[in-house]
Amino acid sequence: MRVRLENITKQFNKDTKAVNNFSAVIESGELVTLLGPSGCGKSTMLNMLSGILIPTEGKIYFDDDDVTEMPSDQRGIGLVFQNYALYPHMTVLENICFPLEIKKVPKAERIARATEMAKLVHVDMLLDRKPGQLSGGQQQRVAIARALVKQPRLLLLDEPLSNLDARLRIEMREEIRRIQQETKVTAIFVTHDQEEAMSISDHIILMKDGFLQQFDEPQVLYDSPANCFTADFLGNPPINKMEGVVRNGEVYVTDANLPSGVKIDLPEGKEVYLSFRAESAEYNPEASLKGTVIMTSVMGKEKITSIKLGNMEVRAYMDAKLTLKSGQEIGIGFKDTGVFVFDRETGERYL
Amino acid sequence: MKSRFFEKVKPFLYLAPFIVGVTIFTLYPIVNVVKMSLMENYKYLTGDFTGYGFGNFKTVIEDQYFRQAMGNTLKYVAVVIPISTCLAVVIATLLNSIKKFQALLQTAYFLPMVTSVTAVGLAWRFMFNYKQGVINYVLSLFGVPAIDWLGATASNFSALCVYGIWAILPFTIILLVSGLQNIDPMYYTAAKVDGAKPLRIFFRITIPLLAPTIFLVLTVNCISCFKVYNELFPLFAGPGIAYNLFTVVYYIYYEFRVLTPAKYGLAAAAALMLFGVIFVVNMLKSFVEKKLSN
Amino acid sequence: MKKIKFSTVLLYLVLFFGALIMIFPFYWMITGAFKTGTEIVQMPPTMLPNSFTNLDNFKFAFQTAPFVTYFINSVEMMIACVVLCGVTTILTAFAFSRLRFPGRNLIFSCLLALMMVPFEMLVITNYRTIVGWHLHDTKWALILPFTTSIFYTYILKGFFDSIPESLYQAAKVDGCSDWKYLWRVMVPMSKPSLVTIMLLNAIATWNSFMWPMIATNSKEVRTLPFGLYAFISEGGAKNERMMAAATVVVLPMIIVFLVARKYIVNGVARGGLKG
Repeated sequence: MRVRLENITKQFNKDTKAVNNFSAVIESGELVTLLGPSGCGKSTMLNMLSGILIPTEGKIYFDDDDVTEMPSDQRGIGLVFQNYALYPHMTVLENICFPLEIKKVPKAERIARATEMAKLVHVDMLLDRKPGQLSGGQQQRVAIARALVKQPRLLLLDEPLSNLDARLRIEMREEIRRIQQETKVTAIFVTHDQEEAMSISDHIILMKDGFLQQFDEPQVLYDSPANCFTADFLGNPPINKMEGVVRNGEVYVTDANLPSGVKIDLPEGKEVYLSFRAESAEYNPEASLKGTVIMTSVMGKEKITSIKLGNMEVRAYMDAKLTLKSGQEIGIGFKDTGVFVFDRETGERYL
Repeated sequence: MKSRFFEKVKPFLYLAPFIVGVTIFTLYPIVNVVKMSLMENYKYLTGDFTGYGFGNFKTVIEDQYFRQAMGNTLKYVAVVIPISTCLAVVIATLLNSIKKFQALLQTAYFLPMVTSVTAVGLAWRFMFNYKQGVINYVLSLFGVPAIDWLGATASNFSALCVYGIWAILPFTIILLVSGLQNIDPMYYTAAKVDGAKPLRIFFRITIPLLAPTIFLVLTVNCISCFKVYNELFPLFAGPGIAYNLFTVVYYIYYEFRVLTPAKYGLAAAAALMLFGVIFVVNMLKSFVEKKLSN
Repeated sequence: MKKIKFSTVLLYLVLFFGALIMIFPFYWMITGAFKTGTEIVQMPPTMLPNSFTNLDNFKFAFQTAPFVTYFINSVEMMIACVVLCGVTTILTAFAFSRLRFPGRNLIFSCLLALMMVPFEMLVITNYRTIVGWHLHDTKWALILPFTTSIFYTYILKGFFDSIPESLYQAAKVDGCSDWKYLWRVMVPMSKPSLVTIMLLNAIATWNSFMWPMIATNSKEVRTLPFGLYAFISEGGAKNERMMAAATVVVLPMIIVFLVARKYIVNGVARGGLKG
């Protein structure tokens, strides 16, 4: 099912808009992530999709149906929560059956469908257990089965992995991806973890302060951020961001008091940020930008190097074969990709 | 749209039985008690009264029986509350510190919670018996001369208090035990590692951490002790000897149910004054509690 | 073998001695009920009756006063109060905990304030209400004032509040109605709390004395505690017969308590401390 959001605004009180004039189209069968820091409006957006909240303005369409004010239970959605929200007094099977019971599906069919769903999420050997006897990962599998058993048009997942430990989180996100691809259900996944979003999604919607920042494929978001916020939010280690000013068509790094060698066609004296990814810097004795090595740590064929540039510290991947001692001065050059220039006030991207 | 309307009304459908019940049997009586207490020379049968005023309060305050009743009630609270609270804190702490027989001992201490004041009061009456009572017999083993617990004005208040303390202990101990179980054991471990002796642990850790529960216990018990009344029937078949154990609630009951014609105005005024006293005591308690927690 | 410390022995001695005092009245009551008239006035008192098959005292009690009727009345009153009050408490706690309506918090705060008002203050008007409805001296008089309870509602609402909101949302998304959610999810999940409330209510109703004394006159509607009191004051009964009658009143609750001890202790621990 295709989800179309048109100019959605949600206002809780006079001053704050949790979601602001938000429009997007989510294609059928895709897994799209709503990504952003806490308070960005992603959960509000999800709650409007599920019908727990009604938008102040704008329309929500599921295919061609206007569902903006439709009650939750008529929308045909499945919901998965961060805390699993399993009924503790029911067994796994009863939990998965419950949505069908409400729909008055005959008992035999109920059990058959629930068992099938349990197989899909690999909890079919736990059907008689109570949620309290399951691990976090197993509980989340059951919750997914319960959300999917009524064959929803749309699956909504609200930070489903946040309560799991690191190893389970990686396992479960692969599982969610697998289950979504097997059922081909359209899914919207809310998270604040950019790594999770990058690894799981067909498309990512990045939000901040209620505004949509960028809606693209994960790789595009990373390689070609629309603005300074997107660039800052994605990537590990985080992107290096330096204050700069334009002098003679070149970005001059104010912190280090040195020219960067990055050419740009902007008016003289324009205040900008020069951002570059750790893998976009390279060792170049010729470069005009110089810094002092603070420390290096080897990570396989590359080593990550902390470099002091004036008052600030940047991190860059360097070839492991290079011998770099702390205190040593090196020149920093840039590759073609992963180097950006943003407006210091608006965050608009120039390069 | 019908369903929208229904959604709006629905909460009140859930609340309806409760609202009806509370309005008739709690709210209306409160308003009515205030009204009745202010009506002068109110005659129940005809519904006549001569006007509003504080006459009932004046009569009640000047009534020597009411004064005696209030005096007895306050005395009862002043004796039963401190003794029962201290005993309960000690017993609860000991109960919480043991491992073997804990369930058995807890059951024994909690059992009187199901007490029917009337029924077990009779057992106490039998135990308090002057000539055949087991209490006087046990005392005689220690050379104490027999005490006329129930039949002498000098000692029947003590009998009432002993029974009152026994009856109030179980629920107090339950509340305190549950309060103790909510204290994180790590505090005790830390104190033991530091080499603190049991008594020091009790006064420096147990009591301060248990303080909220102790205050809760004080509130609950204060309210119930101010209502002392029921106990008088099985023990003394009435308010002691020649009304020497009159209590406020007994006074209320007496004014509107024993006397004919019933004096509703006086009963209402007495009831409001009881509420006033309970309220003031509770305020004092909250004040002390706030002071202590700062 | 581990050495047993003197202080531990002392601790247990104190506790067992205290426990003895706590249960002694029950022991004395039950054994007294089996003693004969001559046996009970013996000095020094005998710790055990000569025979536990001496049921004369019970026979006498049941012959002189209609204890069977009292017993049935008590059971009826208890069941009616526990069930009716249980239902209104569940509905009300749910409305205050989950449903949205204007003035929800304000109304609830007012209710909490009402909790401080002693029932004894309301008795005067309630008596007249019941008389006014011509229900005085009927079973309805015993039941109606206790069909709602602010205190139990308060405890249950506290428990309902602790059930995560997401469960409610999950059920709503599946199309579960409020009514069904309450009975299929909330109530089963709140079983410990509910059982406690009902037990406390059962104990309180079973033992209630003042209201039945005020609201009833005739033997047909009396409940056990007041019936027991009337039995003594009207019959001028002897101690052994009094003990037999008192045993009849107390024994059912002792059994209930022993069966449900765990629930009461745990439930009070959870609900009581929120106050």
